[in-house]
Amino acid sequence: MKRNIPHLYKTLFPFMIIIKNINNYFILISGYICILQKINGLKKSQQTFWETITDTPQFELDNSKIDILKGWYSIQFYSETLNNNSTLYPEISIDYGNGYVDNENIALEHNNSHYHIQIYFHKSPVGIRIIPCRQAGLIFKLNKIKLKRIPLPLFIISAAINIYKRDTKNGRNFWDIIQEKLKLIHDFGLIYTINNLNTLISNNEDGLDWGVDYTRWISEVETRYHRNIKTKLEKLQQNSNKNNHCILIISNSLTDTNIDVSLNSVKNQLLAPCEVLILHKTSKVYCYSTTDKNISKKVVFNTWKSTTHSNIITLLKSGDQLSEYYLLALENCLHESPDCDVIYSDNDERSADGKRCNPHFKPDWSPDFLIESNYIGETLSIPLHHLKNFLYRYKQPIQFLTLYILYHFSQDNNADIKHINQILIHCKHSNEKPTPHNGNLAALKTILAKNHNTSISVKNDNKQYRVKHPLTRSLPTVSIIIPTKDKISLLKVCIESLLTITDYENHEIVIVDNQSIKSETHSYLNELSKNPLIRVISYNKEFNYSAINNYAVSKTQSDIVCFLNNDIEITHSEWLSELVSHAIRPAVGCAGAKLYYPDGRVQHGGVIMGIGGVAAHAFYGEEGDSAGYLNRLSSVQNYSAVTAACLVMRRELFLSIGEFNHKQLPVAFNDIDLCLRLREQGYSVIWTPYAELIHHESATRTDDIRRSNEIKTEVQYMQIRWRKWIINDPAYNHHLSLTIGNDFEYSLRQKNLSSIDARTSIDINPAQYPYLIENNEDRIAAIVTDEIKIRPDKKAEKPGLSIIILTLEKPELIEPLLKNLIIAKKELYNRKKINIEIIIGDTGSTSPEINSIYKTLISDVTIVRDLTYHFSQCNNLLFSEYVNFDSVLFLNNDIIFEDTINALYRMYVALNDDQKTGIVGSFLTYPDGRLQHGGVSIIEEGDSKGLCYHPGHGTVFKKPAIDSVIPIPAVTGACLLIRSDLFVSCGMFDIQYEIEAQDIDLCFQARRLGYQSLLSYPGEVQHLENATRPKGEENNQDRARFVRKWAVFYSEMMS
Amino acid sequence: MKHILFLAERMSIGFGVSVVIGELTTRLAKKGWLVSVGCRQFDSYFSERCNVIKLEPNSRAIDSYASKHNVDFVIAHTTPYFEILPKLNGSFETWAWEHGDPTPSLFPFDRDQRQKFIDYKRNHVYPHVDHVIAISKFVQQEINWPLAEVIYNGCGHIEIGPPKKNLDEPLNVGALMRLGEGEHYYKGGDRYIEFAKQFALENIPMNFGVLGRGTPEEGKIFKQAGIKTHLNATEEEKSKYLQDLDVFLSLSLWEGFNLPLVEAQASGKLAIAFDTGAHPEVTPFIVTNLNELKTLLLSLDKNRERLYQYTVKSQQFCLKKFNWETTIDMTLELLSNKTQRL
Repeated sequence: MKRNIPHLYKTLFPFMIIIKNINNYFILISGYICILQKINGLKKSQQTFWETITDTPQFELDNSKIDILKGWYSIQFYSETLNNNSTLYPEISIDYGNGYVDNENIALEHNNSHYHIQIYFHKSPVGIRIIPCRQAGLIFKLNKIKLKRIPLPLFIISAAINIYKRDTKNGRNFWDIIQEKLKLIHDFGLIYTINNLNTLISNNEDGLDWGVDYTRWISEVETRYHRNIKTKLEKLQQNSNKNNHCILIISNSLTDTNIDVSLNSVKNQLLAPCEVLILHKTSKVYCYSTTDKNISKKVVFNTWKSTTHSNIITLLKSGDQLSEYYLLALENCLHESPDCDVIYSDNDERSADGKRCNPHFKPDWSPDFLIESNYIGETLSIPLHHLKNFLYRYKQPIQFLTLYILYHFSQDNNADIKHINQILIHCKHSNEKPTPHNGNLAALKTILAKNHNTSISVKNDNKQYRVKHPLTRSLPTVSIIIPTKDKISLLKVCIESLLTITDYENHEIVIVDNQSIKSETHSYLNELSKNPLIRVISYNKEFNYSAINNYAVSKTQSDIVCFLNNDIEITHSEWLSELVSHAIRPAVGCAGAKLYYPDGRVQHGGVIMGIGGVAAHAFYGEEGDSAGYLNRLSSVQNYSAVTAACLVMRRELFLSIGEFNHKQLPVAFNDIDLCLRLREQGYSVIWTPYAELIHHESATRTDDIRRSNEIKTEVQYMQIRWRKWIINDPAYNHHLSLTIGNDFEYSLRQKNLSSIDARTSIDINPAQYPYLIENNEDRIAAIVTDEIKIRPDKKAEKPGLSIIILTLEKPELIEPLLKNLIIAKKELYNRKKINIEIIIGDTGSTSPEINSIYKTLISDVTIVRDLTYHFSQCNNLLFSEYVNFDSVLFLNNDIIFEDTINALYRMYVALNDDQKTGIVGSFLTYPDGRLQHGGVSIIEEGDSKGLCYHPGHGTVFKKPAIDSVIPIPAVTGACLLIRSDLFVSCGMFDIQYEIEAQDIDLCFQARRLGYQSLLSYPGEVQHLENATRPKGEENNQDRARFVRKWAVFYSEMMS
Repeated sequence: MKHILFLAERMSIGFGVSVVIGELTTRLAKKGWLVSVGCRQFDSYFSERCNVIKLEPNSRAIDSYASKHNVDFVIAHTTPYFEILPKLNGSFETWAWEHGDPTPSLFPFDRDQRQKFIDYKRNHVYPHVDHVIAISKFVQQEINWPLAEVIYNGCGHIEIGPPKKNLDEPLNVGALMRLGEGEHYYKGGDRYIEFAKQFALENIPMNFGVLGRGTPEEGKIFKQAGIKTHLNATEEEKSKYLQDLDVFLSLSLWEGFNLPLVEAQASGKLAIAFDTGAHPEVTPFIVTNLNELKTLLLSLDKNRERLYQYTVKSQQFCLKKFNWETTIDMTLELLSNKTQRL
C-alpha cells in the first residue's frame, strides 16, 4: 500500500532517495525502500556489474510505495564502466500518466565524477525510467543514484547563479542579462518562467521545444528540408507529366513598388516557371507578361486564359515573396496529389531590415477557421481550370480574388486542399491595422449567401469575422447528459446555472447517477426529478465513462445529445445555441466549447494530438482573453478532437458511429477516440470560442496517480489505434511543439525525421510493429518497383579491385584518400600485379577546391558527377556502369587508412582466400582510438529482437593480430569488399532502404546464398563517422523492413 | 458442458478458414467442449467431421439458436457474421476471430466497398465484442486493433514426415492458390506464370506445379506456361502434392497467415514468400522481388545440401511455432476467464 508522506514533512524536509550500489534497491533516508527494476536490455555481469544487451537498456523506479510530488528535483547518477574509456550518457524518462515518450527523454549532464540534472516535475510522475546509455555491449556498475527535492527558493537562487555565470562567460554584461530575464518574466509570466528555468539553464542545447528561437529553427530544420527537397529536383524536372507553372502577381496598381519584391523572388526559383504575369484588374482584363523587372508585353487577359500552356497558377500577392523552393515543393506536392484543388503553404514575415520573423505554422485545411480568420493568406496555387471558373463568376476587385476562391472551397465538402507544411512564402511584416475594406466581407457574404440566415460581423480590428450559423426554425430537441456520483456541491452549481442561464429552450437534462452513496445526494436527485425538465436515471455498475454515457443516450429520444461534466458551470446564455448551430450542420460530427478555470485561465481550447504521448488540451493555462497563436483561441475552427466535458452532436450520428468505446476506453480518451472516428469518416470536429463555460476540473480529480495507472492500457490503445494522428495532427503543425505546456511553440522535432515525407517517427519500435510502420500497400508497391530495378548488362569478371566512393564536398577528406588510393593502385600493380580502378560518385559538390582536386586526378580516377544522393541507387549505378573487376570495395569518403597499400592488399587476399567468403569488412576506429565498427550483430531477445546493433561501439579498441579475420553476421557499407558476381546475384544494394540497413541486408543475402562475411584487421582504418551524413538520421521504415525480412531467418538459420 | 458456436460464411474444402474452424472444433471437442459451427454453405467433408448447421446471419436466428442450445460463446470468423455480433442479445460472450481482409487496393473495382467493410468492423464490431483474436501479428496491426490477442494457427493437421533429400533430380517447385483470373494479381498467379516461363525460356531444368480451386479453363493458362496443374484436389491429394515438392512458393500480395505455406514447411519443404502480409512471421525465407527469388532458387538448386539443411530447420521452426496444442491452450485460457465468471 502506498504510504503518504505527511505534507508538512514534504514541504519542510525535502526528501532524498539514494540508490546504493548496484543490485536492486533504493534506500530512502526517510525509511522507504524502492526497487529499481530492470526493464529492458540489461543483464547481470559478474556480481556487481550490468551489461547492456540492447541500445535502449532501461531501469524503472518502482515508486508505488512513495509519492514523488510536483516540484524541482536534483538527480545525480554515479557509475563506473568496466572499461574506463567508455562513457554512459544516462537519460531519464518520465511518465506523467500518458506513457513514456522516447523523444522527450532528458539527458543528464556530465560533471566530474557523476552525471546530474535539475528537473521540474510538473505533476507527480507515475513512473520514472533511467536509460543508462544508448549502447549495447557496455558493462557498468551503478554506484548510486540520488533523487533530491529542491525547495523552490533554493532552486531559484541556484538557477539564477548558474544562468548568470553562463551568460557572463558568453561575454554578456549584467544589465543585458537582467533586462532579458525581466522580459521573459513579462512575456511568459513568473510561474511559467520559473517552471521552465531548466531550459534556460541548459541554454536550449538539448533540443527541448520551449523557447526555440526561429533563427535556430531555420538553421536546423528548414535547411534540412531544403537539402532533401533539392534531391528531387532532377527527378521532377525530368518527369514527363511535369506541370507548367505560371505565377500571377496580383496588385492594385502597376506602380506598386511591392511588385519588384515579388518578382525578384520569382526569378530565384529553383524550378523555373513557364511564365510570370502581373494582374492588376480583372474587369478590364488586361495583364502584363514579364520575365524580368521590365514589363515585356501587354496581353489581354482573356486571350491569355485561352492560349496559355500553363496549367498550375500561383496567385502571388504583390509584396509576398516566394521561397526559392516554392515551385519545387509545389511540383512535388502535385506529383503526389495531381488532382487537388488548391495548395497552400506556411509563411513567415520579413521585417523592414529583411530579417525573417513570425512564422505562421498553419493547420491543414480548416474551412471554419478560414472563414472566421483567414489563416492561409493571399498566396496560393490552383489549377488553371479552377481559376477560369472563378474569374467567370467573380465581379469584385482583383485583390480579393484569392479570398473568394478560398471561401468558395470552404463550402465544398469534397474539396481537396493540400497544405505544404513548410515556410515557402515570406510576407511583409506590418504592425498597421488592416484598413477596413468591404471587399473581403463582400466575398464572404457572396459565398455564404447560400446558407440562409448565416450572419457575419467584423471583429478584432478587421482581422477576423464572426460567422453565426442559423438554427432551424423548430429548435432540435437536446438531451444534456450529466453523469454524476455524489459531490453534489459541484452538481448543484452545474444544474442551477444550467436552469437559470441557458437560453436554449428545447432541451431536457438527463442526470445519470452512477452509484452515489450519500443520502444527501439521493435527496437532491429526488428533488431534481420533480422538475419536468430533468430526468434522473441510474447506472448501477462500476464506473465506465463510456458505458454510462452510452446507456444514457439509449434512454433518450432527442435529436441532439450534449455530454456535460457535472463540474461545469454555465456562464453564458448562448452556449448551447452556439454548439447546436454547429452540430446540426450535415458535415459536422460534433462541436466542443471553450472551457475556463474558475480563475479565468483557459482549460480547454481544443485538443492537440501527440502532446504528452496521446493528446492534450490546446492553450491549457493561457490567459482567458488571449487571441492565441494565429488567432486560434478566438476563432471557430476544425480540430481533430474536443473534450467531452462539453460535447454536442447529433444523436443518430452518435449511434451510427459506434458510440463511446466502452470496451477499450472505459475511463480516458473516449471522447478523443469518438472524435477521431468521426474525422476518419469525413465529418469535421468544431471547436468554438463562442460557447464559454467554466470547468472546475481540478475539483473532480483527486487521485491523478491512481488514475494514471488505470489508464495505461488506454494509452497503449490510443497510441497504436490513432498513431498517424498522434504523430502528425492535421489540425496542428509538425513544426510546433508536442511538449506539455509548450503548445504552439516552434519545435525541432522534424529535424530527426529521415525524409521530407516520412510518415513514421521514432516513437514506435520497428521490431514490435513492423507492419504498422510500413503497411501492406507500401510493401506491395516496393515489390512492384523492384521488378524494374537496374541489372547490369556487362559482367565485371576481370581479376582486380574496383573501388567505389560516394562523396560530397569535404576536400580535406577526399583529397588525401584519393591520393593514397592512387599510390596504392600503382604500387599494388607493380608489386602484386593487382589491377585497381577508382570510381568516384559525386553527389553535388560545387566548391572550387573539389573541382581543382578532380581536375588534377582525372587521369587516375573515374569521376561521375551530379548524382543525387541515395546510397543504394548511386552505388548500384556506378557498379553497373563503370566496374570492370571481380571484386568491388565500397568506401565512405571519411575513411582513413593508416597504410592504404597493405590494407587493400590484406582485404583483397582475405576475400579470395576462401571460396566461401563473399564479403570482407574491416575494424574501423575513431581518431581517438575508440571502436567505431566491429561488425554488426542482431539483438536476440526483448522488445527489440531482430534489430541490428554495433557491438562494442565506442569502447577502446584492442587491436587484433594483423591479417586476422572473424566470421560476422554483417559489416558496414562504409568499408565493404564483395565479389562482383555475388553483388549482382544479390541484386546489388536494395534500393528500398532509404537510409540504413542496405549493407546488412546485402551481407544477409550473401549468407543465405552460402557466402560468409568476414571482419578483418588489415591495419588501422579510421572512420570519421557522420562526416557525410548528419547524426541521428535513423529510419524506422528501413528498420521495420530489415526486421520483416531477416529477423526469423537470423534466429532460425544463423544464430 | 460449455457450448461454443463458431460462425463462418462457409465450411468447404479449399478454404483456409474452414480448415482452422475444423481443427478448433475437433480439438476443443476432445477437451470436453460442445462445439457447433453455423454457416451458410458447407460440404460433406466438414459436415462429417463437425456439427455443422445452416444458420442465417441475422441476430434473431443466432439468438434463437444460442438460447435453445445454451450457447456460452458465439465466435464469428468471417463476414457477415462479424457484423451481427454487436446486435446479439444473449447471455453469452461474443468474439471476433479475425483472419484479416486483403488490402483493398488489390481490388480496384470494389476497393472503396472493401475499405468500408474494414472500417465498419473497427468502428462497430471490435469495440462491442468481448475478445478480438487475430491470427497473426500482421493482422493485429493491420486491423489496427492493438488489444487483439494473437493466436496462431497450427500445422499438425498435415502429414508430417522427414524432409527428403533431392540430390540429383530437377527441383520440384510448387504453389497453392485459387486459380480464378480475378485473383491472379492478388494471389500472385500472373507472377508465378511469368516466373515459370522465364525458367523455361532459359532452359533451366526445374519443374513447376500449382494446386488449387478453379475451372479447367482457368487451369489452362497455367498449363500453357508449362506448369503442372492440379485442380480441385482433395485434402489427401493436397498432402501428396506437398510431399512431392522440394520448394514451395507464395507470390501472394496479401495473406493474413498463409496456412499452405506453413503446411508446406511442416511437411518438410522449404517455403519462400514475398515480404507481404504475415509472411515474415511464418517463414524464414522472405524475398522482396522476383530477381531475388530467382537467385535464391538457382543457388539452392546448385547446392542441394544447403537446401536440405534449410528445409530441416524450416520444419523445426514451423513445428515449434505453429501447433494446434498451443492454439487450443491459448483459446482455452481466454474461454476459462468467462467460464470462471459463469
